[in-house]
Amino acid sequence: MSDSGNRGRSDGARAAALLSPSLLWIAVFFVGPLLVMAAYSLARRGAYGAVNWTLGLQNYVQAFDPLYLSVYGRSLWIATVTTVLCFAVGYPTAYAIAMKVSPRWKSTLLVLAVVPFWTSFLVRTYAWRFMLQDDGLVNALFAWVGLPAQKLLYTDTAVMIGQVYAELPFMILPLYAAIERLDRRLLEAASDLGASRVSRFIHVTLPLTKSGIIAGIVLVFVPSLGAFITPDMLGGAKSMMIGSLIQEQFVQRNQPFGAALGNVLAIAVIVLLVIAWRAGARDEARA
Amino acid sequence: MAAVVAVQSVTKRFPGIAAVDGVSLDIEDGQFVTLLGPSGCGKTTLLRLIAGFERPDEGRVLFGEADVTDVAPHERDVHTVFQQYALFPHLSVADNVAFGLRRGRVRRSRDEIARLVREALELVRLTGFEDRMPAQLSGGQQQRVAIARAVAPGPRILLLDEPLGALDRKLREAMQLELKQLQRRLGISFVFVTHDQDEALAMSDVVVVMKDGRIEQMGTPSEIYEHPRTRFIAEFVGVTNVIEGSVESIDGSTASVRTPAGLVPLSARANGGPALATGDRVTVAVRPEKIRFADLDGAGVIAGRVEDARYLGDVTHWRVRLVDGSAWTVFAQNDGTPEALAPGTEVGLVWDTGHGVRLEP
Repeated sequence: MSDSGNRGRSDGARAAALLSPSLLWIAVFFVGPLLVMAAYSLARRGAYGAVNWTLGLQNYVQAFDPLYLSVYGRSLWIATVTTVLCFAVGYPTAYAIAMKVSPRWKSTLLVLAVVPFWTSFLVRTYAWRFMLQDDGLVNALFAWVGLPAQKLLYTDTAVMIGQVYAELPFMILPLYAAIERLDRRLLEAASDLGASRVSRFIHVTLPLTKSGIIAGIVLVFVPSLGAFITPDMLGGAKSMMIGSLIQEQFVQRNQPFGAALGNVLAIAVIVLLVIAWRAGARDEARA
Repeated sequence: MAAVVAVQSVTKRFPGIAAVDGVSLDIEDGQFVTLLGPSGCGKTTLLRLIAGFERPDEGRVLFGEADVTDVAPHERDVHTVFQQYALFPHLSVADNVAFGLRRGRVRRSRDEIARLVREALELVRLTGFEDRMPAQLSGGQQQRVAIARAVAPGPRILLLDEPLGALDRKLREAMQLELKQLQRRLGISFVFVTHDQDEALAMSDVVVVMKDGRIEQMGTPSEIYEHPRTRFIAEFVGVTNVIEGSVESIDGSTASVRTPAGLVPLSARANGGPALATGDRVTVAVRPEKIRFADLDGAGVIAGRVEDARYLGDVTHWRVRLVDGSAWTVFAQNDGTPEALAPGTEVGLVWDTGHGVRLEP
């Protein structure tokens, strides 16, 4: 909310100088590819994977073909469930690490939350295949406690399990940062004024950690929506998601349609980000 | 009169220290009680024990007849004004004040809440600030919101944890007066924690001086100031001069104490302690404003040499070095008597027998 107009001109020049490397970076590596994508999305698929530069909106029309709507629907559904589950698991975890654990253990526990990222994502996803397959670890465990074997691998459930596993740290870290920042005296003040633990959580803790909640939701939802490795490896061919669909177009040499699908996803994500940012900004303005 | 709060032999230990050590304290209805002491004396812990944020390791806390030792803070009929106010940053002034009315145990109608919020804001003269956010208020205004928030639900006891510490001096003095008036108007008990002795003397019905987790002395402001029980209190509350000696003779109610600086008088039953006997070692304290300059050869006069003067307009603070080497302070009113004593001048110091206080060893 700063007004650069009443600052000196030299400040503006200095800001421009300081920002120019990152602006250049963004121009070359972010805006550039977007423009390439935009151009491709308007072209046609040529013979043998070539691109036919007859421009038109046909790819976008095709993108909203009912055939693909179920893919978007499934993607939204899986990303939403993933986000909700990550929040349901992540908030108590982050809360416990921030509030209940002695300071000595905090960093250890946070590192443990991130440790899986030290090995390749592909390797970890393969590990999940072994656990979820029909004669895998999970079914062995079910058999041991007397439950019937479940078909897990190549189901939406498997995709959600894999996604929650992959995205959970991105929920825990911003939530932890927000809860850690929370002024404990405000919690005491709420109790002092007669609020029960539940009331205190709803009316003080949640609103004051809103920034972390929004960040966590965005960080989990957006990659979940566009993910393709997990759906591909754990979901199989039947449960296609938008990420796999896009990837498939490029593999099958239909770059123009892939680009159009990519742009649709990007625009959807941008709209969601703006909504999230607005929600956060309103909060900032009040505080 | 029944005590609204009774703290009974309460001990609270933290690793390595007993923050509150066997403290008993009765707070009566409508009293302004101040817990006074240096940092680390246990005053804030005692307040938190009353609020319910700490559970005593030993002893009990009663509200009236009810034992609340194991009652959670949100179920206690006391509210706190916190040191840094602890206003909810995401709520407007009105919502902050309404918090205890909405979230507390008593169910209230929307109209009643609106009325109580309005009254509480009127009480602290913040009408018109309902929609402001805490961050948009000055320190003094935030302070008032914190008070309004704590009094709005009508607690039986208001706890205040160094609420004036963050304000500048002028504002602090104005708020002292205002808090005292507020307490009279509400007619409820205030328990006020401070390390500022002026604040304690100016506001309280009862001052509780604490040291190392224990109550050192408890009494009205004038009792604490005029009759400090120990050297710690005498020096913590106000400025004092101390000299040691032994009783040389007793004549009726007055004892003569032989000190290195001369013979000083002392009431034989000073401070309600055991009667003095010849030969007793005693420590005598005298407040600086009780001392007058006198001729060296008078009775009950001790000798010293003027070292320094601080002229403050209404008073002058003199520093006088006694023959035994100790430095005494004398406050002299600038009431027209010419007392321009040059440094190095030999002077005698004298005071009324009743103003010498015998401190416990």
